[in-house]
Amino acid sequence: MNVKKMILHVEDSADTREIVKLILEKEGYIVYSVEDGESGLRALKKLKPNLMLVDIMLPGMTGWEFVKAAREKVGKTPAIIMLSALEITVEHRKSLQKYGVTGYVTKPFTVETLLRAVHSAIKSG
Amino acid sequence: MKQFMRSLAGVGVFTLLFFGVAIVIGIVLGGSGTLGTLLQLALQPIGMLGITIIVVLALSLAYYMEMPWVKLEGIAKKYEALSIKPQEEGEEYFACIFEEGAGRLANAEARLARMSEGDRNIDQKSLYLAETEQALLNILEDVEEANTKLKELDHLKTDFLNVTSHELRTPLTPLVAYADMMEQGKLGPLTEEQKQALSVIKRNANRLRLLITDILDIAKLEGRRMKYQMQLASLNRLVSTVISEQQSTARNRNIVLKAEGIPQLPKMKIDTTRIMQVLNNLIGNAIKFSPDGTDVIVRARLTPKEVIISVTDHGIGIPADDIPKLFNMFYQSRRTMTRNAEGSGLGLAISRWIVTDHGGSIWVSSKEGAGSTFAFALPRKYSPSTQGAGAAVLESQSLDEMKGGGKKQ
Repeated sequence: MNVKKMILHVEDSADTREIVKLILEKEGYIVYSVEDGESGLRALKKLKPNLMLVDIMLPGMTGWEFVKAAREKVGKTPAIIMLSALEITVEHRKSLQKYGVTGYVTKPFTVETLLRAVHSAIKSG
Repeated sequence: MKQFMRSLAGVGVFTLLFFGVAIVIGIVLGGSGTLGTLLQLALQPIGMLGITIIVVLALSLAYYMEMPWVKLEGIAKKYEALSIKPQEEGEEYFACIFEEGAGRLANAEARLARMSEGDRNIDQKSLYLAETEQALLNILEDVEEANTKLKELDHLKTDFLNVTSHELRTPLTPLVAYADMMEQGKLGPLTEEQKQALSVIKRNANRLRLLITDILDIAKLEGRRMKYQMQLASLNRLVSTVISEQQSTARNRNIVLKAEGIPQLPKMKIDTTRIMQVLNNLIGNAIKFSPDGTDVIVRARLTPKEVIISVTDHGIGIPADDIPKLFNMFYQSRRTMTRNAEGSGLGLAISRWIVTDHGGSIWVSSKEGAGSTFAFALPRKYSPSTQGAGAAVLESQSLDEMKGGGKKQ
């Protein structure tokens, strides 16, 4: 891989942050993890990630609110994959379209599922 | 008698008038001469008897024709009578008026009495109405309060479901992912024993994942908060997708999974994901409970009103006693308990909910030792009443089915 792609991961569970970082770094990605939306917005001002992995249920601002704020404050956002321990609902589908979200991965996920989603999002982004 | 006297008087008047006229005529005709000559001239041709007859006849005629002079007499009589009446009838009239007045007064009094009674009633009634209104307002307030509480509860329940879902799945995430990484050797080489241990961890983590999904599904179905996404979908494609999804599981168990005689099925308005879940569940069960090397066959047929999809296995079959309880939650046939069957025990209960929510039905026919056929029917015509609004009906229907079990064998 010539230029390493950067992924911003917004996730409140420390263990999940760790394992996602581990999985993706082993695949050659640079992973920057933050624990909430506010930190995510701050990180977005400094970094230009190729992909954002965003947990929907975050303390404080939700994953959707983070995506919305990111679009408003930072402008063009990279490809986004929402991570959720909740099943995808009709509202989620609507939100996916509304916020231009690339993909959706439900927890718990296998390594294979996560990598497939990340690879295809990076390719399309 | 009075009448006769009156007639006689009339006769007199008429005779006088007759002779008077005769004399006048005599004078006119004769020009001059004596009264005798005139009389003789007048009476000669008819004689005295004739005159009398003429007089009587004329008089009678006059009377019958009510000639004015006869009438005058009657008017005079009437006037006489009238002139007497005012006194007598006036008294009577006053008496009558008085009587009537008294009657009216009595009536009015009675009415007044009734009215005041009515007024009292009205007072009472308006008081009662006011009380009732207040009571209704109180009830309304209570209902609104209850409604608000229910809404809060509903939110809490939804929140609880979401939080539960989140809280249970979150710890599973690193667990599954780490086990995956280790098993793939990405965290260093493993001994055979470690690999074995990891596969047990992964299998149970997966079972826990399925259990959480199923419990949350049941909670949503029972709480009527399952949101169906009804869309026009091809059932043929749905069946072939599920079959291809299950092929690897079937192959792992050395089971031949195939479709047989599936006709062109109509496009139907269904929640594809949920109907796929039902078919996945039935095929998954069939594979799970089939002996190695046997077939699992998926069939479909059309009736005028329904599309029926069935899954037949050649497994051990289900004891007749177990059939009615099969669609209950957490129920597993005694036979299956001896096998290392994975699953939440909720699959059939969930399938029953989903199918009945689509206005359809689900059933099983089985012969011990020969295998089982699980089937579900979906109405060809989508009717909105079977969605959402018919929830209560569907609930009782599915309860009946729960009790009746596989009634359509």
